[in-house]
Amino acid sequence: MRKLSLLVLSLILMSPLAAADALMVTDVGTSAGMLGKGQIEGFDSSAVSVLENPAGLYRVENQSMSIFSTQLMNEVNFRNVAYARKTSLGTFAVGYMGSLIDGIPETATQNVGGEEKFVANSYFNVENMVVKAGLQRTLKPDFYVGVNLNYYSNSIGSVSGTGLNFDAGLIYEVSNFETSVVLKNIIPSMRANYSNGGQETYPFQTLWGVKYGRDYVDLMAQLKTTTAIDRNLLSLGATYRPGFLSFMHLNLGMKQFMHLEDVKNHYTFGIGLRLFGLNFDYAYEKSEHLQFDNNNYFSVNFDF
Amino acid sequence: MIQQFTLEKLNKWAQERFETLSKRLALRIEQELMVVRYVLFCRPSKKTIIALCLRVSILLASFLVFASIQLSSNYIESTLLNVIVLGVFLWIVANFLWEFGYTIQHVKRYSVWLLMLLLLPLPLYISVYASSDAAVVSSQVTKRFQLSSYAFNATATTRKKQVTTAPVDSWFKLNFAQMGVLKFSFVQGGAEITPETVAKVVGKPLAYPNPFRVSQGTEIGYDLSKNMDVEILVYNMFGNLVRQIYCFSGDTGGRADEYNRVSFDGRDAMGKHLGAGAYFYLIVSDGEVLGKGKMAVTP
Repeated sequence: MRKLSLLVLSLILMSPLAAADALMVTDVGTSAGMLGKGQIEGFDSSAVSVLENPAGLYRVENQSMSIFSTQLMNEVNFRNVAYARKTSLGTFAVGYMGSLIDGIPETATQNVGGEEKFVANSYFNVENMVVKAGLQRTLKPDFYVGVNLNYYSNSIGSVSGTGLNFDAGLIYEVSNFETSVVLKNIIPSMRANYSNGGQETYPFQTLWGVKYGRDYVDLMAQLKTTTAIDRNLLSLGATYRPGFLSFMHLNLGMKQFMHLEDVKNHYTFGIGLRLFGLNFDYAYEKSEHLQFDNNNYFSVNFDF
Repeated sequence: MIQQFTLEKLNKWAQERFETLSKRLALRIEQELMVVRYVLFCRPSKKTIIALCLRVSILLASFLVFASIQLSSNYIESTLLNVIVLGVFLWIVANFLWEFGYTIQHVKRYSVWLLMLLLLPLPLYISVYASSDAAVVSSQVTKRFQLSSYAFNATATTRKKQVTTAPVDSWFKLNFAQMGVLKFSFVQGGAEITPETVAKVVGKPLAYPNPFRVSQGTEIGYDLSKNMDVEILVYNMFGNLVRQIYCFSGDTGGRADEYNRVSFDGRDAMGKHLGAGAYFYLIVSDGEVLGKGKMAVTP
């Protein structure tokens, strides 16, 4: 046992060699609900919690399934599917999230009119995906923990890479407050190994969130740190459930993101409908892309 | 070339509605004056006076917030924000009316007014998109808000031509001083830019090698129709701008007399190697997107 503890500790503390940080496909957001609240993670009540904070799976009452899909810049297709089931051992969940970009030209050079120019020979796709298998346990009536095993896979034309890592999360409730802490990719020595011999590290991310809930309003804040960038990113969010329209809720949020070397703010908003166990969410976010004014997100989850 | 469309039927309908509304408004003002008379002469309770003060101040504050955001936002991208702010403003007003005993029926009476307010930004979309033959690449809206009028002026640059609206006052104006006569008019003007003067990328820009190892970098190649300052914007798959490369007119990247090959070292603006995946680049000159492409990075 002592040897095992030492092994785990050495794996966690082992500093990685200089390698680029892998892109995390989940950084785009995992549901329209959380995106509308400024991309605050850990307070979702559906199976999608497995892609955010696995401790949040305690909110699944029996079984839950969620689907999310969006397209950014008319080019990148993101989608995720998650399923969770409560058992006597805890809540088990599995979630998949992937992105696909197709039609990328593989190029060569050609002499055209005395000048060497670039030409497209063929086209290839880029796919990023992660599958997370999670388990949540309730340690005390107001204290929940969860762990995920993550399997990453990237495919860039003929080059592919895979890797494993772990997430750990906890949620603690006190009165009207709820605290969520998630540590993602907790073992830095576990890397992505590519077929061309290249390696990437999975960025170690920490997300510290707090929620204050009253009858009609939830207020949330989150601080995100990641080894991929040198800045901390703040998110603020609010959910309003009108007393006279119990099936509807409105989300508002502010999120920070990197824009070149600077941190910029985006304001987000969303609307959700809860109809017969089906939850529909829509979120809007302004886009920084020169050609696209905004990003729109939709997600559906079903509790049964 | 100037085309003017006067929507006669809409004007006629609007005029009829406003005549009806004017009568209702007069009745409403009379009722409000009765309240004022009650406050002034009938010694109302302190609670009533506080409620009335609150009512006026909330309405005034909401209106000021809305007006200030309208005045401060000069870009068409913010039109949606305006609609949201307007929605919030109307939400506050509706809640406020509810609070003081007004029912949905009362709100319904003002539905045309509310609709008119919601429709305010609509001409921007109509004019810009109706007048453009291709996607709008840059646009700017100037707004002017005075006590007597509310006016828009829009300039939009498209791939094929530049469309500039007529002077501010004549383009779209809601004249509060003449509420009974509301005229919608769209004026579309501007000159076609001749093909000789159009700044463009000839053919499709491509990166070579593609895919490329992040440690080795790549080159982005393209032909230009004329010498110009160019910037290359690189976005990651989340749509975040990660790198900006400037090329000056006449130098590599901004020349028309030879194939431009701009080096990209596979690093972001902070000097870190990019993560493996797909990236998107735009070739931009003077705010106009001349070309775009995709490239992929391997570790």
